[in-house]
Amino acid sequence: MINKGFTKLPKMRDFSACAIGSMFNLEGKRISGKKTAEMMSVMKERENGLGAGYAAYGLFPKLREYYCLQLILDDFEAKERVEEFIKDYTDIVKEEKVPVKKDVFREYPLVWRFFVEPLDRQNSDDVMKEIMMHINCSIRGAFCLSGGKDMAVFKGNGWATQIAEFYQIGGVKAYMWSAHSRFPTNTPGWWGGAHPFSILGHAVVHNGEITSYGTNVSYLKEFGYECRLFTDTEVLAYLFDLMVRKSGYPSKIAHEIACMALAPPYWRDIDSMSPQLKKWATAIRITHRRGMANGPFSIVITTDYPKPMMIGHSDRKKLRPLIAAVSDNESTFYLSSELNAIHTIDDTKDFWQPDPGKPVIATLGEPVVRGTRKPFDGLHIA
Amino acid sequence: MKAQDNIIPRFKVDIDLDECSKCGRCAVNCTFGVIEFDGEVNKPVVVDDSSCVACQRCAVFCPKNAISIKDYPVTYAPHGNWTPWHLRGINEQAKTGSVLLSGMGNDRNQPVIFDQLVWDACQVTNPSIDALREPVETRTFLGRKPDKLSFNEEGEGISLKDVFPNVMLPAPLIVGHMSLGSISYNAYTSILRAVSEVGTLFGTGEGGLHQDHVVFRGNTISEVASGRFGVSPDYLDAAAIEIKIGQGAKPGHGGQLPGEKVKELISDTRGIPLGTDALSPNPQHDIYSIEDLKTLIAALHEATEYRVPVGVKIAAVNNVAPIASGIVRAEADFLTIDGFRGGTGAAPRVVRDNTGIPVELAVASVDQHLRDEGIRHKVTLVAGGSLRSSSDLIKIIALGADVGMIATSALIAMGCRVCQQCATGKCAWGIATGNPGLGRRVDMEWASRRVVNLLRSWTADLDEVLGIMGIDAVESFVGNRDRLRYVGPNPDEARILGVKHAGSRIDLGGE
Repeated sequence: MINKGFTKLPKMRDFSACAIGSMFNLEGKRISGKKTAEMMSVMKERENGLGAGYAAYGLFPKLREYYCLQLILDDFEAKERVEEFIKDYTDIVKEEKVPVKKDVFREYPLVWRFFVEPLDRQNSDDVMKEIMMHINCSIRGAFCLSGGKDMAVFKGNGWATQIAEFYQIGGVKAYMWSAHSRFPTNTPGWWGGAHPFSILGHAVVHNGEITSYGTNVSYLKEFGYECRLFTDTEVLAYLFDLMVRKSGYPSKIAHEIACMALAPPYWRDIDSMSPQLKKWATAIRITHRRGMANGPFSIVITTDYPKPMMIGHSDRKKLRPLIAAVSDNESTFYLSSELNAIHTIDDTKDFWQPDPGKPVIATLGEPVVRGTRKPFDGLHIA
Repeated sequence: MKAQDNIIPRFKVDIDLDECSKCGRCAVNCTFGVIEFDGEVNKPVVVDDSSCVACQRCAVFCPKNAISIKDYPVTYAPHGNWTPWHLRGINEQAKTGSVLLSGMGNDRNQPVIFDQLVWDACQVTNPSIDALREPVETRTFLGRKPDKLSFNEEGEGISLKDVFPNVMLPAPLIVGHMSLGSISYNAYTSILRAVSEVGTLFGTGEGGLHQDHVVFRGNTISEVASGRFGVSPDYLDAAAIEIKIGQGAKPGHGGQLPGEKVKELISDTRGIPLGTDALSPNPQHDIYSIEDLKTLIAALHEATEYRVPVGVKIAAVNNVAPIASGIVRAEADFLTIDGFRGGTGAAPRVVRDNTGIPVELAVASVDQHLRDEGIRHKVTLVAGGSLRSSSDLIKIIALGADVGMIATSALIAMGCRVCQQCATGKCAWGIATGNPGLGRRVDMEWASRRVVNLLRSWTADLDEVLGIMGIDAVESFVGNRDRLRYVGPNPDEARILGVKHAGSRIDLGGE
């Protein structure tokens, strides 16, 4: 049964207070989504049944060269409209219906995925970004949940446990998972409004509210990002893409620049930095000043650009919770709104509160640095 | 002069002789010849009401509060169309046959858009920030910003290439251009002392920089205007340089310093003969086009070896948005928009009162246009033209300005009563005068303290308001029109401002 209206955008922006849970197998071992779903299930106090979602990386080992457009659709006609559009810009390598469990929701959308390769291979990321934005802004009855390689987003309007059941998350295997459940303060019940928000290989889950939204939206628009989804989380995903990928910054510093721009050090702290770091921090802050995210937030950013990475970050005053942990055998990295969610699946003693406004970055195959790392630590900067 | 030439005075001055202590301060302080002290009868006498401008100098200095200044009690026959303002103007021009000069900004009673705007605050879903206990940052950088940073990777090292020169301001608030000559040496020096204490900037105006003021160079924006008065290599070695194309009070019009105000000091600083009118040409005669402007910007960049941000000031006029875009593309590092209520030392009244558009609309449309063209992030947008309070400053930032610019407000802090006599050189408060005797009335220590207090209190107000909006750095508030609401009567106005009507929730319809 296919119903209409899942992809319809509400004419309002929604704010969220929410739960975040994520896990990352640093050895690249693919694990079932069951554990992430268990993490979410104990934070039910933080949600109100109006949206939840999961992002998973490492899903399609045999198709990892291709972008996977994961869509929710009102009906088959909408699918055809999408297909009609994307075939002008991409080769469709494979398509399939995403299996969902039937009796979880009375009404639910068609979930479909296309594996594609852009015709313009020089600018494939930009093409895919444009395709995603076009589908979400302009194709009736279709909403693109994600469009990265070897990853996909599973989300919808319901409780975290319902969404896990609907998408049969327990049967999905991935090396990196992030998850989110919502407590929006107004009630636009639509599937696309749940987190994670994803663009290309980045996915963001967010607890908080961006008070700089208007300034950020106008900044993003200058660089070709249209914010049409009426949620502040969207701007975080695009800001991250702008600074990490689009800017072309050297890959060993791009993530740190993006994190610093989103939540820059206070000027009083910049003033007491070493001359080199002060120069860098000042330049980053004033260049990307309109990309600073203000207001309370804790976020988990997962990305595969240029390599798989999980980043926990918060606003400078840390007005939303975020806790980090590493399993005792060092194999798994966790980020969560609450420690009990981590302890539900792993009773590790190795956990800490990341400092306000300071990112925690875990990279595939690399040891996790606990506590607060100095910006650009270990690099010769000038 | 015939009796028929007489115009009924605007004000009537009364001295309550029962209260009066006969100290004579009123007569000493009056510079307009209204009150004289009659030694024979040992009392002050009001000799000429018609010269009174209600500057309040006599009343403020009277130790007994014995002086009252009232509207003159001869009424005009009521008429909704032929108001006393019109009758007086016609009579003055019929009498003199000349253009009416005026000082300060437009005094007409058009509605002020600032007063139609209110702002947002946090409730529940995001916490407000307590500005007294937690950091709220107002530091702002004036200058050009790159699209992105550039790095050099050499082996293990990464170096950041230099970004454009930027001037650090503690808050998005500077004092706009007022030349030495339009205001007195003491007033000018007081402002320089104040901005240097606060760490912000003061525009030199187009009168050059007096040698006594060279020490303040790090806190000045040197103006290059159409008269090119005082422009020298030393003069350009300032915190910033601004090419003045236009001024809000008199768009299309050059600066005018009446000969009455050109005393020795001014004659020396500007390099012009004593007592001559210093009339700057209306256009810059080497700038007849945007490409000419680009050439001058480039020349000033070269002359200062790219160490100093070079900006351009334009008056807010109908087509301000595309003009602004041209100026950004001509590589100006900052852009100043001066609204139609902005002040002046002297301007034809007809120009002052009717030319240009309100700065609120100009900034909103410039900001939007630059965003649409994808170049807003490159430039620092400065806006002035009658910021009367911290609330005007806060609203202009939300509408899209990076920095607010005040001038009249700073003069008011130093005693100015906005009596609009700046062009006469008779300023009883010693502010807008070239007369050194009068200029000494500005106690520089006191006056600079007052300006410092004003700048700091507006900054504190900004902190408070950012805090209640849950914003801890002012850059997240620039152009954040989502946080404003319109309570006025005119939907068109709200549309141009890009501000929703009060009662609309956030982001109906989005960008």
